[in-house]
Amino acid sequence: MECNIDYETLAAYVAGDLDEQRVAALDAHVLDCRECSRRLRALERSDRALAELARTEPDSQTVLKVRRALANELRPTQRSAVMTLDQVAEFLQISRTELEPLIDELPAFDLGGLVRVRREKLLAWIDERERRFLRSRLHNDMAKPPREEASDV
Amino acid sequence: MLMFADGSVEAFETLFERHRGSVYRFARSVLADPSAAEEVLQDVFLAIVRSAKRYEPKGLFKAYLMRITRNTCLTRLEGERLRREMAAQFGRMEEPQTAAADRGDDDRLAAVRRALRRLPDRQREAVMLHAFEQMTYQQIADVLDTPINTVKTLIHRGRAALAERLNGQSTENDDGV
Repeated sequence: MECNIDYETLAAYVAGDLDEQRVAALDAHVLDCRECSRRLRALERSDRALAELARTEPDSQTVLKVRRALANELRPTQRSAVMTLDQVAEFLQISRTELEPLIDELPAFDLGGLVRVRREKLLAWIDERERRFLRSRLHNDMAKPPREEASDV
Repeated sequence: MLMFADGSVEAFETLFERHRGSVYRFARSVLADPSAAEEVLQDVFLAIVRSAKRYEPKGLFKAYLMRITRNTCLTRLEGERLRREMAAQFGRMEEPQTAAADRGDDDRLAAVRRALRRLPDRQREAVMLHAFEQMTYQQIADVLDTPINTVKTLIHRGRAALAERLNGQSTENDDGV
């Protein structure tokens, strides 16, 4: 005799989502039904396959690639209060070699032979240089001879 | 997540370590192209970084994360569909969907992924969240924004269709619920 219990009902039965009455009826039925036994085994096999897929992880190269992209994104939020000279150079958008002649001017401090700069002091130092730059531009402008009026002729 | 939203990069590292597998697994099973799954992994965590300041802890972080993952995958799928439609319209050969797909899988797992991809979107998502992430029906209901009884039906139908397909029987049960 053909069995009319479908996969979906059996999936709900295995998941424990049927009411007690249906569970009791199915408990009795599946013992004697070859078709249901076959379907239950099929469900078990596909659940095992899903469990295998559940162990999928990105490979190390993928993780590395994504980490790099994320590091770039995180950099602006990574605001340490104290910076190394490399970080200062990066912050100022210059190379480490270009920074060298400026090191004596930097508001730096010594940490057991290592040079460090406090971010807030560096910002104040930039402000001061900005003011000096503006003053010198203003001074140069004033020192220039006045431009001659354009002649109508 | 709240610690990261507060500026802790270490907290983000922990989030990435803990959840990268979940995001990748989901994307890898939804999208035929493995490199697209890599891009989803990146896009999802970039979205997390960019939206950290706006994050409001409503419910489980995992549900929030999987909603972003699901939406990112759906956007990509939509793009793929449009691209195929365009290619068909202009008479170009359609790219073989599985040519580069399932690289690195053995045949059996590749068959499971293909069977999963043939399920209607919501069935597939419910089955994966349940089987891969061990999420409860309620948590899945939150991710899919669907009543809990619908989630149960989606999972039972999805598992049934998978079992039938993997056993070489065809079933047409693609009504989306």
